[in-house]
Amino acid sequence: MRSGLLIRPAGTIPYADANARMHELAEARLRGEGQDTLILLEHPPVYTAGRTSKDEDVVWTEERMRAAGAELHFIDRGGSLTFHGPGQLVGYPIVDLGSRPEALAHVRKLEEVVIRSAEEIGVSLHRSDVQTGVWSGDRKVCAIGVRLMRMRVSLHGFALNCTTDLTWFDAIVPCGLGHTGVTSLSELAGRDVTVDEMAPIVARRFGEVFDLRFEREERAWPSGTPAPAAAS
Amino acid sequence: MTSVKMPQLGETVVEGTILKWLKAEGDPVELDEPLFEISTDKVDTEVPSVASGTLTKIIVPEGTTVSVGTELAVIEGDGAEAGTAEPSSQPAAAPAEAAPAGTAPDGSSGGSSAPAPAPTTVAPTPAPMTTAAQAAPLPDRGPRSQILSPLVRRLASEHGVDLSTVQGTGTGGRITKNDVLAAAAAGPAPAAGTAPGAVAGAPAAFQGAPVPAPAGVAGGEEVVPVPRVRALIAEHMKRSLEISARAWNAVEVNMENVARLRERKKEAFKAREGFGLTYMPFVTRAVTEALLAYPMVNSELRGDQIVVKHYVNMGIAVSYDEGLIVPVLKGADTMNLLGMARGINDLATRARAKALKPDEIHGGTFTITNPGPFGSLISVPIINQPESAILGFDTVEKRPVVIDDAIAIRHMVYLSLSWDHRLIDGALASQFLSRVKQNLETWDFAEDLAL
Repeated sequence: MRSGLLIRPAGTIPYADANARMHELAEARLRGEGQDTLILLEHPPVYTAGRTSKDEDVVWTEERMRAAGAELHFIDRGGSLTFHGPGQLVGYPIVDLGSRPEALAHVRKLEEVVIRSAEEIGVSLHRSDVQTGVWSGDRKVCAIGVRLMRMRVSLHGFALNCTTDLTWFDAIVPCGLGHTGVTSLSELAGRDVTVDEMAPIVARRFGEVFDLRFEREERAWPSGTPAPAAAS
Repeated sequence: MTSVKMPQLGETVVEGTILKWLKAEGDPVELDEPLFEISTDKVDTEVPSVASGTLTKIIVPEGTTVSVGTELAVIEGDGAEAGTAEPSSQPAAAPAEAAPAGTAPDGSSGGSSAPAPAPTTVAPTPAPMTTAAQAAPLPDRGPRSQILSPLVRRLASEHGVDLSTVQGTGTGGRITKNDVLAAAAAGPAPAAGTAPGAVAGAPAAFQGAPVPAPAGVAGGEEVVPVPRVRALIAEHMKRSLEISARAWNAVEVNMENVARLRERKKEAFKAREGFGLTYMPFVTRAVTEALLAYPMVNSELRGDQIVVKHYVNMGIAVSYDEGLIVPVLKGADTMNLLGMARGINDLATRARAKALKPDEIHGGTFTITNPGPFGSLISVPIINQPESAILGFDTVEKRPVVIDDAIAIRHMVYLSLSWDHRLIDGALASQFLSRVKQNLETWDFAEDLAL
């Protein structure tokens, strides 16, 4: 078992800041520095469009999104459009996958982390045969989108709806889902399942699935991180 | 001279799309410097150069999807090549890293963390990825052009305008209503090689087929849009064949005892339960026991791990007017024959009425398909992923058979098994089928029926 770093800042972290930090950590990892890291945080409302976002997936105009208080970012991960915001536990694993990366296995492991975590609070989730992510029936509870830096270190990750206000998803067809929808752990458990409740569970399950021991947990978050070139 | 190839991003990834070339033809490149970006399913990555020198030729343009191992570009080298050496930076070793870099990118060089026993796991799927339709460049989608008003989208779809061919004149190159109307007036764009609209949003299973020019439909033909159910089935089936190493065998089972019992009890059963007693619960009961006896047949390859299940959630393939669905009889290992008969009847009835709950079509550990009622003699089903095997149960009919050196007439059936050779070998598959056969031929099911 290797040792890893858990970063769990308080409050909400702007998307651009988190994106910049993630890229910095990944670059360090590529240089052989640092440890495999899991960032667990919440964002203020933001829509992010991956490379395979399609016109049909956007229901609101960009103007309407901004008017509602959300930003729209076009980013470098795989996958389509999704929403992040308060009440959603976002996980960014920065993991060195080695020189022969098993990309899909990495995605499957992220799904496994979420399935095991939800099991702990009595919610049974599953994978889909046709799409990544974690589901309850035909509704998505957790979106997953991954990019590798230099075919080696993972970027981006998963977004688990805990107490997320699901009406934010009306703006988009999340990850090209068509007529199926989204749901949250709170909706499924029939009680408020908060980000604070899930974060330690997810961290522990992540360690289990990825064979990592989190010896350090950072709560501090450096402010004013410059935006990386890769984020547009 | 070094050939740049589409890299392997894991055993199950067979193709990728070139998102972007980070260097132009004629540019100098350094070993390990980012050279291009690719997208595979939900994972994107930038790919470092395997050599240093000059990028003399780009063979595969941006937006093109090709199979793993396809030659993408040529670098005229200055000698440095990542033939066997690791890139200079070598972060903490992950398990998968034991394999040397730079060997054949088709995954055949071994060193994978999954100790796959069968020799069939290595070959990249060759031909289907390089059909004309696949090789056609995808429409360029600049980020700004992605946000289109619903009006524009609707107009485009009404007029059959392919938006990727429309030059936007709005703010930031955005496509406006007038742009779409102008394009519609100008007539359909040629090029592209695919019928506009026909494949948009359809899963890759449909996109893989060469699509003829959208010249219209010949007499005696009709164009039917791909229903969502069809699209999902297509994707699911094609994917299964891509990732599994399917093998097959079958046994012939003497169903005489079961047939006689069924004949004796069917009226009383129908009177009490309100539905007919079919062969299906008998087979399900016999298979469930065999799965518990040979749990490897009831397992799943999840990433680099084998998950062996010591419980049975039995998928029952049900055909209905729109296609095929596989509701799951959960906890089959806790049921007796009567419980299975009731459960299967309930699931099949509600499947045909489209009244299944979402969680009733997930979580299966094994599947039985039963084309028998349609007269099929023997079948070769496709494995319902992520399961490792599927049983085909065909027509029960009277056949002449040799019993104790005499010819007799018996109710016989072929039970066939498609199995994933990555997890199951022929000996196990045969033992499993023999167990099912033995169960059906020797068990006394009468008590279970409580009639």
